[in-house]
Amino acid sequence: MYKVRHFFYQLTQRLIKGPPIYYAWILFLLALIGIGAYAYAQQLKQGMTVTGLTDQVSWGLYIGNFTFLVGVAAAAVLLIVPAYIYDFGPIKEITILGEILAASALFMCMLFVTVDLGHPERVWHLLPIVGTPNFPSTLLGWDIIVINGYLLINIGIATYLLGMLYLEKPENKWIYMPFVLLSIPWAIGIHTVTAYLYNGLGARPFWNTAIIVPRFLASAFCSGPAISIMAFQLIRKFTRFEVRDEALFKMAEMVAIAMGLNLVLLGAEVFKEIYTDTWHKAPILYLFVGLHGHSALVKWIWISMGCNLLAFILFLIPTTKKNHVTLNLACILIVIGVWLEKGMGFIIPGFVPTPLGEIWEYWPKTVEILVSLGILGFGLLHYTLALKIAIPIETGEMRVLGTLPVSKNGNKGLRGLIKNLYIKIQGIVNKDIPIPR
Amino acid sequence: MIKFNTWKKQIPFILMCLIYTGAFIDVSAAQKEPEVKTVYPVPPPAHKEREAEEVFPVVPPFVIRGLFPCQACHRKGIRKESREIDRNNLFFGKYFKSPNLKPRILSRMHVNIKLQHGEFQWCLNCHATDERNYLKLINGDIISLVESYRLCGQCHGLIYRDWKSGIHGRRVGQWNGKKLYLLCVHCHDPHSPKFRKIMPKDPPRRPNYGRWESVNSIK
Amino acid sequence: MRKKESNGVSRRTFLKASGAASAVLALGGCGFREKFFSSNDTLKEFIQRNFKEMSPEEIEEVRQRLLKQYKKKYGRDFVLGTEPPFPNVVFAYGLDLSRCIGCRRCVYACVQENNQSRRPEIQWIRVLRFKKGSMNFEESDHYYDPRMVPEEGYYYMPVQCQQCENPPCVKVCPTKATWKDSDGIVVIDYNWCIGCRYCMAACPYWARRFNFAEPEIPIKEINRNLHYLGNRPRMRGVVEKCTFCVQRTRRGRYPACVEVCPVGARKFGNILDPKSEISQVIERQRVFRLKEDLNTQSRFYYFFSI
Repeated sequence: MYKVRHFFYQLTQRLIKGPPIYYAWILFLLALIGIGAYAYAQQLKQGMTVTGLTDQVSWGLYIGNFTFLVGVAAAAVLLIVPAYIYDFGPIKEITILGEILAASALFMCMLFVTVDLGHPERVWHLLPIVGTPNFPSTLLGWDIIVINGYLLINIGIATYLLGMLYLEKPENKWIYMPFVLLSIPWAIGIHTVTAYLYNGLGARPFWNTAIIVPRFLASAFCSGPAISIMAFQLIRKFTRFEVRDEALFKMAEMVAIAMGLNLVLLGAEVFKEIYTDTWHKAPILYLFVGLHGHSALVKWIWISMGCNLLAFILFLIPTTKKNHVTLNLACILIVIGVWLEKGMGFIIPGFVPTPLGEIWEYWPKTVEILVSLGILGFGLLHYTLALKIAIPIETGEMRVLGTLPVSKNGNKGLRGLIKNLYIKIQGIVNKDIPIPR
Repeated sequence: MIKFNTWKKQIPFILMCLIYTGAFIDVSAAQKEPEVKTVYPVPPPAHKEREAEEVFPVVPPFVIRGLFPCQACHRKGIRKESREIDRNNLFFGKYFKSPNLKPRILSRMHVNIKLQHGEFQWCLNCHATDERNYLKLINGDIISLVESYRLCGQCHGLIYRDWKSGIHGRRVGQWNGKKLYLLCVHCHDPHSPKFRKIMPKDPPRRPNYGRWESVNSIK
Repeated sequence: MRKKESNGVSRRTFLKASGAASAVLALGGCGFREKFFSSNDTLKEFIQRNFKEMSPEEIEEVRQRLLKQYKKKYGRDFVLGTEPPFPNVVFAYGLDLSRCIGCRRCVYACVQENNQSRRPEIQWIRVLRFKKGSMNFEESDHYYDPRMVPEEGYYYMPVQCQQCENPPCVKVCPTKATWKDSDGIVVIDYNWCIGCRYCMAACPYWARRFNFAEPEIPIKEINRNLHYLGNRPRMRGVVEKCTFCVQRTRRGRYPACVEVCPVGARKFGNILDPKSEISQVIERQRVFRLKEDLNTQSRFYYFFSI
């Protein structure tokens, strides 16, 4: 019991105390969440008419963000594969951070779907016994299962590993490795199922092509790791956690390959529609050149193409990849590019033109933007707080039974040796750790 | 190619070819001229249709007062009668003992009725000459205005067939029970049956009605 | 460390326990539970089950609750039916494109019959105007507004829910809030729909509408013959669509659009009956369906009779 109380004591201490920038950040996020909550209250009060959605374009910013964030959740798997399959040391140390990012992204996904519903209080209709889920025919049901499953797997693995580190017990490979290995196809699964959501609709020829499945995977493997790269550099700066440059560069390499694939697949899709020249080319035309004078998305998609291409080149050339300034620039460009291409640039053209040939454009209104920012704030808050706990556990600053401050070298060197001995002796005295044989 | 040592050994092969070709020729010739005997159906005897015709419970036709009953004016002996009733207001003009059967555009009476029903039509093609309250069919039958569908059905046979099954025109009533049969004249003016144009109802509201319109343009 | 009681129960515990028991009995006796749950209609509506799974008693209860609700809101008495489909009946619809003159009377008859919201405006039927020579949806006009119809050189095609045999909307609904009844009508349980609008993305005919705001129906024009799955006043946040007027067809009448069409372009009937009107239409006319390549097997047959 004492240990549990001590754990919660340490937890609260870690969450509340931090450098001033930490307070500023948390306050900023709370303000964002507050604004988002207020905007959502307006939406609940007046109905979805406060959004820019219409019968013609019935999905918009919320579902676009949801699609993008499911891609970000791939950040975890891109770290797990080199870490555990290829045993690449520098990345193995940082997989947990990737998993936490994935968990935050998945929370945001679920929130975006919830705010998009007309009756969010009726979500329990989706649950198996109390409601009537239309399983297995509906892909939203599958999506919920895979997303929640992946969330649980990530949280489970992260909690287990961090917990074992915290309790200073050795990790049991047989407990967590099966889940780690499961999470690789499962991560492919969440992107595939999200792509199937759109793919399975014969009514929308823009989505009804098989190529969107590999495109989703490719753009997922770009956006998630790009955010991770930036996040890791921030973590390296603000905490004592060590992230080696090799890890970042390896991730950048994989992003480059993924972006290359994404561009090739995009080219294939555009070629197919433009060359075949049937009526189904209308959404692509709307996206890239405008249709019958409607061209709201044209400049955004070209910006996105530019960002993607530039980022691809920056990631590809070794000199720019290794230069931190260009690396970060490329990451930002990729996030912007993929968000435009996979978020709004994917959802809206699916509805233009409508199955009966109408062309109506969509632009998000203030309420939608504020709610999206609020959810983004929530996700970042979760990420920050989770890291505030995870990183001290990783570096050794937070351990069961006492938190001796860690030196600059971490647990290495003479001081670390003495500290470890001290902790062990304390444990033996308190009869918590068995006497090592 | 099949090689043979001597020409004698080629004979069976040539014979086979000839037989096969002959068979094909024979078969194709048989397909061109089938030997089935056809029989023409016997034409129906006159007036047989009257019993065979279905009678439909129809809503009675509306008639314009002042014009119906036609035989108030168009009957034998009207000249004599009118002379007896009102000496000053005689029928004058070309009303002889029998009606004028010459197809023409009427200039004295019924000038409001514009006959625009196909080409080369005139009143007494459909209206019975002697019993003017009734209509006449091509086979000589005299039918009342309640049975006017038979008259229309003479020329508009496909529509008549559809109307009998209930698939022509407006349906009101029960799909699994009693249906309302309207006469042709309830919707179509028999003298100029082409529908006039009507005013349509309002188009649907644009989806950006009352919303921020800078990006949404009116198609 | 407290001294443990050696034998049985102490006096204190006994008094405590009996006091608690009597309180519980008193509450139970006065019907606290029934009173709390029965008087709270919102809660009952919240815990209501899917219409397909409700027992007849539950359906009756829901019916009474809804009638009370409508009486309170609109001040009038309604007739709310929950008729099941007729056996051996599958409805099909025929639309004669040579006769449609695009007058939109079907649209507004449907709006009035089915209590559709006037503001924001919802119309289940959408009439398209095509130039003669093609059926290119992208070049169609939905908002034509001439002085008189029909116009020269154009033809008109009304589109509404096609009640497909293989409906993509039913396939994708996550909660089974929409399903295809045995008489062929694809119906929605408005109290079960969560408003995710996946069915709207899936429908190839753009037949479904969403209530973005609370629907407004003028009380004078409200239609009081309702069906639970059809034209009862909806709430905001749910999807609705043409239901072939379940409140009429399940009582033997024609849908409102069929009855109002001034040129008789619309045909309706039971496709399983070979003598019904729609069977005759399919037999005699050369019918086609929209977007047949999507294999929705729609029950809405278009034809050109002249």
